[in-house]
Amino acid sequence: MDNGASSYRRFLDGDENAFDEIVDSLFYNLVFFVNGYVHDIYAAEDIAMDAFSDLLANKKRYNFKVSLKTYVFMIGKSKALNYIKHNKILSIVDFSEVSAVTDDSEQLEEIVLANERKRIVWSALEKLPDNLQLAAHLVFFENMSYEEAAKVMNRSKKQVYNLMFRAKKELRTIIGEEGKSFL
Amino acid sequence: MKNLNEYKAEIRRRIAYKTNKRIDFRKKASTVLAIISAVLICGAIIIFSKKPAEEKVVFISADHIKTYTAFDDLVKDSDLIMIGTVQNEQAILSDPSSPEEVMTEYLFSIERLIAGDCKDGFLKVTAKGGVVDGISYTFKGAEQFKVGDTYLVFLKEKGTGVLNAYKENTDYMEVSPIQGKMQISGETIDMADIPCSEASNPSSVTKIDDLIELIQSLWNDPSRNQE
Repeated sequence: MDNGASSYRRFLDGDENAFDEIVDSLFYNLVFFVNGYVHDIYAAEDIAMDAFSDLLANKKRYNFKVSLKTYVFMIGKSKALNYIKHNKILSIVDFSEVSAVTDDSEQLEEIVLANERKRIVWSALEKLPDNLQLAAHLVFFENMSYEEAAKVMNRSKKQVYNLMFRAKKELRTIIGEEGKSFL
Repeated sequence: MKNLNEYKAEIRRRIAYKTNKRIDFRKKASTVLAIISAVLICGAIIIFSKKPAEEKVVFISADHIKTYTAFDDLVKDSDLIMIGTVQNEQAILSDPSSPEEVMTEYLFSIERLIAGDCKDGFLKVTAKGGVVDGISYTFKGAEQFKVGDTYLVFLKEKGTGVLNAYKENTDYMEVSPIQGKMQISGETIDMADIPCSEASNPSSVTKIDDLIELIQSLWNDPSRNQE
């Protein structure tokens, strides 16, 4: 599986359907991933749209050396970190908006965490420290290899391997014996 | 969450915006580059077409200057011969209306006293010519002393003309503004730098020490004192 690279090639050749394929396969996952950083679903949507428009407007930047998914997540992560850097001052959210935000976040979780198994792992994942959570998210939910996750996280493959070893150990403790088969 | 098609529409709008922005940026960048290139080319043309400002030189008449054809005559006419470095210069009579009146006083630190007596390590030497208001007054074929440069200088206590009128205020004057000095750099000497006509040049001399030895032998020659 080329994780979208062939779709991107077709997009470069002018196939408009390829654009739909790329967005369909990666958009919600990217929003979900970015939301893990920014904890703001609207900001995550905006960042994800920006990441896609960057990918598709700058046609020569993606060199096919990594999978398209990895590349899109790398852009998303970079934009999410920029967003956090530029929004360090806490914004005041109108209380009436909070329920809408929560609804949208839950809806996104429903889309991305389509099955029960994923939901159990996700709820356990949220209890992990940030770096373990990120590694486990990319490997378990985005089905990335350690190498791909390492590229997105800007770490070595060995570091991701170590993070995953610790993440699995902690997840087993959190989920319990019955969750062992999930990991 | 919105419908995925709404996100796609927004992504398409952003792609169009970014593409247009990039095209605009390229247009602006190429315009700016063209302007900068044009300015640089014009600047280069102006700089390279400009001829360097020529230093204005007024030559003083050398008619009354004695021309030495023999090196030993130069030594005989000298009261002091030394190697010194110019430390300072100061125009002392600076009447540009009469180039003959332009004189400069140079303060020399003595590096090596070759012949004659001098108690101090410094000498005031007055020479004709100098620079006044950016115009250089000099004898044809002569070079002015330059601050920081080292010279072998043939000096006398009494000058001629306007120099003589100034003798009370100075230690020594040049024996000859054209032949009475040679610039020294390093241990060897270029034959072309040695004053006097080629026929009487000490052609075997290639080192300063040899030249000094020659000067001292000429200086101590009994016939010099008889004259």
